[in-house]
Amino acid sequence: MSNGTHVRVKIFGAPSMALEMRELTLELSKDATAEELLNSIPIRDRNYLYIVREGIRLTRSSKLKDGDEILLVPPIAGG
Amino acid sequence: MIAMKEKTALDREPRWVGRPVSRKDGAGKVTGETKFFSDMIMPNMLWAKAVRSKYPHALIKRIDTAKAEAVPGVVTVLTHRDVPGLNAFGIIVPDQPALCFDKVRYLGDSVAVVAAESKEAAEAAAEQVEVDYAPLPVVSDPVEAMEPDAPRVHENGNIQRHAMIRVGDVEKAFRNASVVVENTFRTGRQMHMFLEPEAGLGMLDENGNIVLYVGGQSPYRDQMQVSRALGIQPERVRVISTPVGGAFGGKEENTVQIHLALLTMKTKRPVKMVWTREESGFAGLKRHPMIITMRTAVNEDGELLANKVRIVADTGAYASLGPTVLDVAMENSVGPYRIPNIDIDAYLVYTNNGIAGAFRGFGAPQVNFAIETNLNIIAEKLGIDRLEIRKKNALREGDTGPFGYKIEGSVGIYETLLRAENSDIWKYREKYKSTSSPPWCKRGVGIAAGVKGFGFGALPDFAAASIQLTPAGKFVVGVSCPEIGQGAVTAYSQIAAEALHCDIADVYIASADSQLAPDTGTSSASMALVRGGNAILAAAPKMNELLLISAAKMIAEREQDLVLEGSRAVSRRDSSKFVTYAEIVQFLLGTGSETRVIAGINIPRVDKPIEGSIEIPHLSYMYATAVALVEVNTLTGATKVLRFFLSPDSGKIINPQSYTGQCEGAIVQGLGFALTEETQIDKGIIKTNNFTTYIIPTIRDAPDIEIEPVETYDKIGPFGAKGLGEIGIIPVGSAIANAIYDATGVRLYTLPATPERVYMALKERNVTANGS
Repeated sequence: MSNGTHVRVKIFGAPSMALEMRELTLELSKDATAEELLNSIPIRDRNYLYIVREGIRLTRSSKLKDGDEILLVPPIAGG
Repeated sequence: MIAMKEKTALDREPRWVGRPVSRKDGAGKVTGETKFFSDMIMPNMLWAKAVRSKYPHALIKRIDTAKAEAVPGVVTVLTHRDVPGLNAFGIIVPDQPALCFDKVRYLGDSVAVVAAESKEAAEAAAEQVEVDYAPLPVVSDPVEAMEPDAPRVHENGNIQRHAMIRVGDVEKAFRNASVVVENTFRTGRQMHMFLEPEAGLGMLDENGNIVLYVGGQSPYRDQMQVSRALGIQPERVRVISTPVGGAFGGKEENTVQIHLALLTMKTKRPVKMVWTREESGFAGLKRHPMIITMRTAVNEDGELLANKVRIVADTGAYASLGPTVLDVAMENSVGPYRIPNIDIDAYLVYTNNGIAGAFRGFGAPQVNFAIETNLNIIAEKLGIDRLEIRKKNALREGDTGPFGYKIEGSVGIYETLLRAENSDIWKYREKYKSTSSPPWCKRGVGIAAGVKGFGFGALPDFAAASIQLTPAGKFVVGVSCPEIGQGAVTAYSQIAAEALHCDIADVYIASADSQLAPDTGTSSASMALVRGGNAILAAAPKMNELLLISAAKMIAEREQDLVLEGSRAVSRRDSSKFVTYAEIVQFLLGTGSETRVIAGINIPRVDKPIEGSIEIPHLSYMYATAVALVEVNTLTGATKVLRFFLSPDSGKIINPQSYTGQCEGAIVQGLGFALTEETQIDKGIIKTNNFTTYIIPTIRDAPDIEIEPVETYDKIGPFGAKGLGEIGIIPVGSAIANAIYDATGVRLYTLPATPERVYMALKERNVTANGS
């Protein structure tokens, strides 16, 4: 096991369809932020995306923790 | 995160939940003291005005702002060239330009936006913006719009979405059925007609970031749409969305937000925009009109065998939330019933008819009219009582839903039917029908059942809340779902006070502010209570833990020997030994510790949507049965609803007063959908933009209303609560239409049942004062 930050990422909606991927695991740097996570995934509309950990929105500068499960969710809605 | 069971159970008699606590926002609103954003005036403030399209469908050849810029008092005129980010918005599909550049698709499209020193100057300048248009053929019939050679509203064609759901084998079921009925139904383009039209104010803070005061339904999603259009980080936009002068779904989408943000950034001054009532009428979002063809089959006992449905929903010029409205329409087209064979084709179609989006019920009232009417026709053909056929087919606790998923939430539809059966109107319907009235008036009693999921179904959703301990030892609870009139803030206070073991007066809800509250999601989908309530229940144990740990240190007790009471942590062994929350906060501040906790939840949902859908099924549903007593004037066709009974199953009731208020509001809004509210459109031009031509129910039209809840316990929501906001409206139109039939023998297939429509139907069947 390296010293990096290992995160499990679940992707939803249009980004998931574009990437043809619903889930992936990433190894990021030791002090990884949400920005680094986004930079690791080729998502087109990054400005319309919620980054969520344990039900809480993160900002781009939020620090990630080893073992985090991160949801990437476009803010679409239903009823 | 904490487990659902922990969040929803109370091991003691509740002190606040289930009690008729007065609305926190009530006094201000009923006395007129509350200042809405359209009331706001700031020093150095500019007024904004959008320049709307002159045609429902046209190419833009040239935009010239020179004359407008020369109008005295004008500060700036922006066009598409001034949009630095994505010049488009739309919650699901960004297909609507913030400022149009190549073409306009409805009269509400904006081609420029003006900021001026006065409202009058802004309006005068908007008139002076010169736009050369090349008009295009107008697409106003959604069925014609689906033809391959129809003029295209969008390049990719007019069918925005075609969804199909297939369960079982409907054709085989039709062959084996005893009765099959097929009818085509039409429903109107209902306007939200909130008291405060779309309005807001933008300004810059001391750091040059944008602050938007806009009455909306989701400050964080507004933040995302605005930041995307401006090409800036979301954190540079603060959105404050309370108070809201009514929403009902019509303020879910961007309306004034992006224009205000663009103008604020450009002018560096406060800018205010308030749509006129007419502007709200032709530019704002509306309920999707639908054409529904439904073929329904039963066996000889009246058990439903199959339902084949074709839905054409007119979304107007842009999609907004139309794709998911279509999903909810599909889901609700089978009603709250067991139906083994289902075949649905649903189309969301672009036209130049204004724009449709979210509206209380989200596609459900439209299709409810179809399934409930077909069921009544079947009951009559089989000689089965209208209520009995519903009881026979109603979903029960533990059932697998019609789309093959087990319904996780409580299922109270059968119980609501029993309440309706025992209601005064239903039990004595023959007496009420024969009660003396003028000879040209006929009375009837109608019944309908309804269902709707709450939340976003299979779509991912989450909610967070924060709790801050103040220096006075009180709590500020951060929840971003706006209070849109449903009583959410009061319910949050009740839930927080319950979970924090404190007096409700010690709880202040900081709501609907993207700076003061974490993202709790939207006030939509009958979900604000469940989202915010569950998030508070996730955060409260953290605060309680913080209080206990701190108190234990302060008075040398073990945490487990302390109890939280009111605003104190007290020793269980010696009640004279305690520490107040005000003392605890001083202790925390003195040690440099956090006085705020935050917690979030991922909203429970099914793993993935069923094939052919985006969001269905839901994990849990609200249910209701409605009974209406009406009187139809056969000389004029006017229908008066005399009495209305509603039995909802919305799980545990958090606040009985708010509950009743929500139901009564939904019923009266449903009266409009049923009887009067119809937007008249002629070739893309809306003719009913104001209250003079668009008739909404008033207090004089409100019937005598009786609400009888079925209080089930739902494991999804806080303390067993479900959503409530939408279920009350869903069966209203169907029950009234059924009552009109019961009164006159005239079956209506189009809503609203306006006097003209009823009169013509009566005339066709020769049912008049002297007729049958």
